[in-house]
Amino acid sequence: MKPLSGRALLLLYAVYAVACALLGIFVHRGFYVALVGLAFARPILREIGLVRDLDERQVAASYRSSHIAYLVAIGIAAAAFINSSFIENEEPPFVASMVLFVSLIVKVAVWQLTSRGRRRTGLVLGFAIGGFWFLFTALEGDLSPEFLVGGIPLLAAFLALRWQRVGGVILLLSGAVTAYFFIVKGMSPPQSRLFVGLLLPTPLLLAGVLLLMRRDDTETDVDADGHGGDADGHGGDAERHGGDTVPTMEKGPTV
Amino acid sequence: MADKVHNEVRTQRFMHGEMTQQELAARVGVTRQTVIAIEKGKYNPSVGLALRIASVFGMSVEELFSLNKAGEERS
Repeated sequence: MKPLSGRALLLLYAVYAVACALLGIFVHRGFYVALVGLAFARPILREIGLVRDLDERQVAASYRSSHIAYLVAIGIAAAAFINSSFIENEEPPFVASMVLFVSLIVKVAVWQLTSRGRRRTGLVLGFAIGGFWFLFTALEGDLSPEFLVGGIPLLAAFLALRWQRVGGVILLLSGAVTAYFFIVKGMSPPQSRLFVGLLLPTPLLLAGVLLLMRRDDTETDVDADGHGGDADGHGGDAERHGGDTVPTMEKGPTV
Repeated sequence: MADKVHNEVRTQRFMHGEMTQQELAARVGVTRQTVIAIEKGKYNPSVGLALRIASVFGMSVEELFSLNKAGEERS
């Protein structure tokens, strides 16, 4: 993507600020808060390639500072969650729950996606969401319908280990069904529905989509002995062509 | 054990007409602070940047950067 010029960037900021101000004046005062978005504009534009104002060391430093900020934010959110749930025995603050769980899911998903590829990310999301759902409903102690429904994403994740697309379809359907019942038909307040929507159907839908997508060209599984296999899960470094065994991958460190 | 990367960037700058950090930074497309960090060994450049720096001095990356095992004396 071609980076924006300094003038185009300035114009973009100005248009955004004026739009926020006008919406704040004529629609709702809450739109003034959107002006805070200007503080995050440059990192976001940088992330999508529209701004290239930092060299590689500065980018690494920026990422490190963001990661530290993430750890601090999640630490504060976890403290607030623990304090409300286990010390004051109250409903945890909505914002703390959102920051804690949604950012954890985003963190794990992005980390897996960028380091391990689509298949592994789909499997991790399927196992994590299905597993947590199954565990929490099981802890309630009875065989409620939710208990059995929670088992479906977990079963789909197990199926996806062998039959990736079958597992992907089931996870996608599980996500759609949970989105319908928890968000569309949900009786809880809108903010609770938003929270549940981000926590349950969104990761299930994402897991399903990732498992149905073609694998990345660079995606490899790592065997127990540390040798890279190919995308189909075959562990060897050689591929058979017309009866001959032809090495396709040099062993060595990856950059 | 952690490896420390030794570099000859500072030496080569002075051997190439006392090139300033700013000039080197401009030629390889980074900030002066990044050149300082590389010279002090606080930042290891990417392969691309190492190649660009080596190209400025007309030498190979291996001549400019070398790997020292931690604790070893450089010969």
